[in-house]
Amino acid sequence: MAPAGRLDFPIMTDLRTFLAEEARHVWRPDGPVDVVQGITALQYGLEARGRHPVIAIDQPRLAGGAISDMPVVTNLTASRDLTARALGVADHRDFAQAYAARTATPIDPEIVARAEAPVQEVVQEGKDADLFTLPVLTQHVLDPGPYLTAAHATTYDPGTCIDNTAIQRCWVKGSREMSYFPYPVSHNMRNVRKFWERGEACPVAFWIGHHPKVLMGTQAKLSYPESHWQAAGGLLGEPLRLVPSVTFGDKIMVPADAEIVIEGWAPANEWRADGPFGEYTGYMGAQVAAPVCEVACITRRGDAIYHDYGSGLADMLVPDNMVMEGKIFAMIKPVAPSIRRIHVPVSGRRFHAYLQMDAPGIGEPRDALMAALAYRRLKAIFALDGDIDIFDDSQVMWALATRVQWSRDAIIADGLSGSLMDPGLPRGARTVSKVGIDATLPPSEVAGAPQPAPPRSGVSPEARAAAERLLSRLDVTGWPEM
Amino acid sequence: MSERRLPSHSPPGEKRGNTSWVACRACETWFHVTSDLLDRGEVSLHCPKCHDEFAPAEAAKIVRA
Repeated sequence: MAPAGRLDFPIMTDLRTFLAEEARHVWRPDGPVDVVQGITALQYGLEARGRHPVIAIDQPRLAGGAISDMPVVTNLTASRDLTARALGVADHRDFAQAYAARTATPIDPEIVARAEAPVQEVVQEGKDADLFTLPVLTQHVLDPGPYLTAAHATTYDPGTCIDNTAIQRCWVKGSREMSYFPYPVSHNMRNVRKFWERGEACPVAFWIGHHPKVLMGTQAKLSYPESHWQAAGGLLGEPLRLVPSVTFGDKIMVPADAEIVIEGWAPANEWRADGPFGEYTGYMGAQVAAPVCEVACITRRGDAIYHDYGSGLADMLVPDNMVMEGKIFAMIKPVAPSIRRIHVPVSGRRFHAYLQMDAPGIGEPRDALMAALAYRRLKAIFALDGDIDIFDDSQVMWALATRVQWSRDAIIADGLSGSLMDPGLPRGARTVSKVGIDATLPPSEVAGAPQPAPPRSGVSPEARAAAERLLSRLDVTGWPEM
Repeated sequence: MSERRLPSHSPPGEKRGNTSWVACRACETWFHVTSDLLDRGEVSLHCPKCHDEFAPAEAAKIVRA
């Protein structure tokens, strides 16, 4: 997808610059594609093939059959390679260290005038604001309707006026009404409750579409209350450009270079049923009670692009999990300096983490496990040696099979905070049971001597290289698979 | 409306599910809801198939975990 041809605004780091940077990895299907399951089905199909291009739909076909004039971009972050490169990290395996370092060096945002904010090029207020003009996807067969999946909700603490931002799913129920689901213990829900306790509606702005640096910076794990704009600046390497929202002024700033902003109010103590909705677990999340947003205003670029995350697919798991890797790295490094890399694999959703350690000292893998067990989303953490490729599930399984005695190497901790969306949770439980597994080999006990464990079997590098030269010339089409 | 409450505790080592189900009063489609949503009572449930909205007490059936 080409960057915007407009000359009204300076070229900024935004969704368009990323699409231009990765133009050769953008797949643009010919003809219309249905927003009701059709686009998401393409993601499922590509994922089954192990391919993760960005998908740009120029002709999204709406539920009623009309073609939207607003293009859809999805699968933006389904590839670890692309997502790491978006942050200037050449090797995705090094992402955790880079993320931890950059979010630890925050940069204050820059406030720009409305005339300099592309996202306010079009302003639709009151009855002119219509959510149905957006090509919102209905992703899953059991979803009850169309959901915004890449809406970043910004609220603020009425006491300190410090803002908070988090991705929240939004079920579009009417032209100016949607329910949205801040997790009950989230910072956004704390802000909502504070307004409600005063008997006031909670102001909220949902912004959609930006460069992955900004999307991932606003997922930084912070204390409360603490704004995410500085962390986003840290990832950008420059101040994030913000503009006062139309409805709330400088009480709620929104990214000036976003694609779309939806501004509204969550009326005090009004709840609606929301869901079931296809969640990151790969299951349908149950119907919940959720706040409602009464839309006051929609602002957007004149040629806005609608960004969608494939919920429960690599598109959403990859960036979330990579951000988790950065957060977990920052938690472990102070207690286990031999930590080298971290992988939160898509196969484990958000529940598993693999820790790769370089010659850890005695007790260090368990120190690392104890630190990571405190991370709310994780259920199982595996400490592994440097010879294990933690980005290959089969190698992790091999280490578990050959380097673990369960009664000695498993640390089980009950009663910890966790995700209540876990289908494996016991009935009525509000906390989860977690395990840390030390799958490292024992360290050498004699200076200069090998570890007291058998060496790996295999062939020499020279023999392997010769074999690869021969195999590379073969057509293996039709040969038996395992 | 008939409500069936499943046992609240599981014997050690025995797996029992954690999901509560509601049958729509209009089309009888089963959909799953959180216990919190059922406990509130005042929030209408929303059938994801026929979009009927109804109070928990009006559900055709409830199986509560």
